[in-house]
Amino acid sequence: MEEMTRYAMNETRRRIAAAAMAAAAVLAATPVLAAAEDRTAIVSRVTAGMVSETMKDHGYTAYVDKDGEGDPMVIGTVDGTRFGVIFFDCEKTGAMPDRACTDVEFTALYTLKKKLPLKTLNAWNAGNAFGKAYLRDDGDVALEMPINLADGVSISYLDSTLEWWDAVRQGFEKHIGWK
Amino acid sequence: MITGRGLATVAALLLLSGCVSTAGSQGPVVSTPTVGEFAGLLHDFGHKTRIGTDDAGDPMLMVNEGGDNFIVYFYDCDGSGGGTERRCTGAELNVSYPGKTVTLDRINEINRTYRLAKAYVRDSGDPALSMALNTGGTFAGGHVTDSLEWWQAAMRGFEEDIGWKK
Repeated sequence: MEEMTRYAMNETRRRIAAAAMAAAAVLAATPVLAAAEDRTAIVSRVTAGMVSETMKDHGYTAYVDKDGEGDPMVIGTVDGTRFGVIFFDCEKTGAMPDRACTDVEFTALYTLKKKLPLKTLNAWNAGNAFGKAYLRDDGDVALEMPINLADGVSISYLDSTLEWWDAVRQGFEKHIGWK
Repeated sequence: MITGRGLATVAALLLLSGCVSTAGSQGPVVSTPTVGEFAGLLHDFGHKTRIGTDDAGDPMLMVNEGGDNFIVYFYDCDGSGGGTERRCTGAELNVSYPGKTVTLDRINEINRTYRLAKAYVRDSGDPALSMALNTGGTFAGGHVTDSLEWWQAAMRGFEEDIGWKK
């Protein structure tokens, strides 16, 4: 990975974390997407709005926001856990929900009373194919699930992605004793 | 569990719905592919594969790619046994580097910065790199090709980061 890419990733994540923890939940309107009617149709552009609408279909609360770099992001909540969906390689023009991106990362942050040992996180990463956990500099634990969306996926693919995120998040919260 | 559909059925539905054009340049369309279908997508990318069975009795693919060897594990599969007809909603590309020592601090830093792959240390002490692919729902072969390019880049980056020499 190039250093520039790594740097940009970290900056984006810091902004997402700040936004995800903000108390106010300002719900932005997102358009209903015709592509959602046939969930198996291959779509060449996956937009932030598609991801947000699919999350709502699965019972999440979700809205499209803008991150510090001017790219779309989705703030979601399920089972009391607030998380961000960060988008990469996005189109730079158009309304936020309409911008297409090539891959996404589901990100949840956990502030624990006691710093978690790295071996606990390593055990999680070793035992689970989906999701990766790491310790941030501020002591918080981050759980991420990156998913590639480039070159031909469908809404049904997003459905499956959300099922994986549900399983990953629930399993991880149990692993670290999060309540 | 997502129930997969046959390739021919999906292709027919896409033709009827007029949506096949976008998939045309993105290769064949699959829906929660069987292990055999997934192996076919790897072959299209130029990989040689051998079918095997993992410790849980599920199918796995051993892949040889120009001197690189990695394993594809499958998750959330229907049916049972190690056959190629099982449909799975998740796959994991996995490679380990025997004899190399990497601290957990370094692994943590790598996980903080890598985009699609993750690293961990096995019980044996060997570092490993892993990348999960959702294979549930409908997607095009081109999508897998793009993911494999990410995987190749991740392996190269990880090998450089841990000072691995072939």
